[in-house]
Amino acid sequence: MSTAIALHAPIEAASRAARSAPAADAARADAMEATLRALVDAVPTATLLFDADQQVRYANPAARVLARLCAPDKADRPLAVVGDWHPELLNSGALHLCSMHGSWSGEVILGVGRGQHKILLLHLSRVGADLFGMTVRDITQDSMRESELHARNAELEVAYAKLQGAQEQVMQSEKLASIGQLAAGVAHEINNPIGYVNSNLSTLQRYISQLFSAIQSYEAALAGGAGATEAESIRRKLDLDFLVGDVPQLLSESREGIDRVCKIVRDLKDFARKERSEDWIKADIHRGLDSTLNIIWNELKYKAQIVKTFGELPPVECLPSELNQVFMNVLMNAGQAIRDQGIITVTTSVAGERVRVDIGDDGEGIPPDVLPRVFDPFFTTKPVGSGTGLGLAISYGIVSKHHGTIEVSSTPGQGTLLRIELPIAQPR
Amino acid sequence: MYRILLVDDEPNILSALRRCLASIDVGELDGEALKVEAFTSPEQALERSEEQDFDLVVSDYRMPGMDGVEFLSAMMELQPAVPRMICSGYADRDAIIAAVNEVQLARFIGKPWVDEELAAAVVALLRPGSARARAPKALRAQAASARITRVEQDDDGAIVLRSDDPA
Repeated sequence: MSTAIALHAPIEAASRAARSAPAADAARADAMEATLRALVDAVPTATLLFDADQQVRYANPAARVLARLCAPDKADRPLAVVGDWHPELLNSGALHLCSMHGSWSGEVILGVGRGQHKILLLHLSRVGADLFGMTVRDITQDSMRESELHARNAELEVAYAKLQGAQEQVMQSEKLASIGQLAAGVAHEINNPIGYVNSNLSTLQRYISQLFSAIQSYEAALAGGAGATEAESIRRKLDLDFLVGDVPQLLSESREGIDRVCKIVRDLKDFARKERSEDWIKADIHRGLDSTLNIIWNELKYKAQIVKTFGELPPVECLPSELNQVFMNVLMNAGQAIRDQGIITVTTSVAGERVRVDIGDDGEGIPPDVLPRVFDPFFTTKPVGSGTGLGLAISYGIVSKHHGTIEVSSTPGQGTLLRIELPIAQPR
Repeated sequence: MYRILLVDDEPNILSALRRCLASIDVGELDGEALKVEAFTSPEQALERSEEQDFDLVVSDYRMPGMDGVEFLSAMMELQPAVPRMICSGYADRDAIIAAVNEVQLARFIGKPWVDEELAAAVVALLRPGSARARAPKALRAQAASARITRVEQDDDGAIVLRSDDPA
């Protein structure tokens, strides 16, 4: 090969071996040498052989190419020592380490003029007493690709984190939106008991002052030595009989009102609890359904009867407040499907390793062309402003996260059935 | 005697309203007694109204079956002259405005209400002249402007109650 510079060492080694061997062996060694040489010449990786003084004994054609890469402006310079490739190609530390350990690998970054850089992967190995082999691979492209990949990956990670944040926000705001839809009903439901408790307290205040004045009148009557007739007339004047009869009733009604407010607040808290996504617990599905029904009842009671048929359910491994959100979305839809008066059925049962929650209504039903799209994000048939179009999409996501299924079937004019199935235990 | 018809689906509200109305001194009604009839069902209240005239109707807004506006407009057909009040915790502004427009509401009282305010409104609607004597100045101002007026001023000021308000 005309481009090869020299190949002394293996020849010497081979001829040393050949001296003590018969001529046939020598011929075989020569043939082997020629083969090896052809092999190394053909290797596309720059390969050099040099001695301890870095005098190059052999360099393959790929090494020539490398030399041009290292100094494109001086393509035809003589290449006698390793430093002729590039003064910084091989540092003495690397060579020292190679002498000690037999080999060394590492990357070098070389300035190759015009502001350009090359990143090279070097592999050194000691191949004889004072001989070293070196392969050099240009990994500039690889490493650029790699760093680009890293950059892309980092961008993707950032985007993913953003998406996750956005998803969480959307879920939370959907939850708030549905609570917002409930707010009027809940306000009404709280204002009613607060209204009569508040009014009853005013009445009680009046009663008490009447009682006080009755006591004063009695005292005065007693001090004046008055008899039963006078006491009776005071009693009648202040209508004490009525008052005595009404106070226990007033108190028990007021107590009932306060209990109702407490219950609404408790249900709301149960419902709106924001749990972390890792809070999987074994929970009673019926409790979630009940607390959701309690809240939504304020909204539904004016137009729907609810028929609950609860089966025996084992505790289900789930994220309870997320499931509550699913139940609420589905129940709200059921309520909205009913125009005037209707029935909503809530039925639970066990089906193998899964629990089943069927929520049905006898409302307007969903037209066949709309049915396949009900789980699509932002798909809504409600007027602008009264639905986010995310309710069922989010419900679908939540049920999928539970490795469950949610299916809808509907007959226009007759009603709709949503079937939610959830595994009792999450797959490990 | 003045007859008042109360309608609310919540019996405890009716009890509280009765107590509140019982606190009105007959002196403020020129010695006339108050007779209160209360119903948890608007339908039954309407049935009763076919045979009995009332001097004032106070209704809840949100009730199962029939809402306050539906009830009061049916009431308007039976007894056009009776002043109509809504007492409700339902805070939807559109619903209130609709109520004002559709049944020419005399008063809207929010829940929770203030007893004195409610009593003053009732007296004012039954005996326009005596309300001023009873209500302290602040309550008088409140009763005179009622909540409704404030709501409408918030909006565009277009709806006015004056012509339909017996006061």
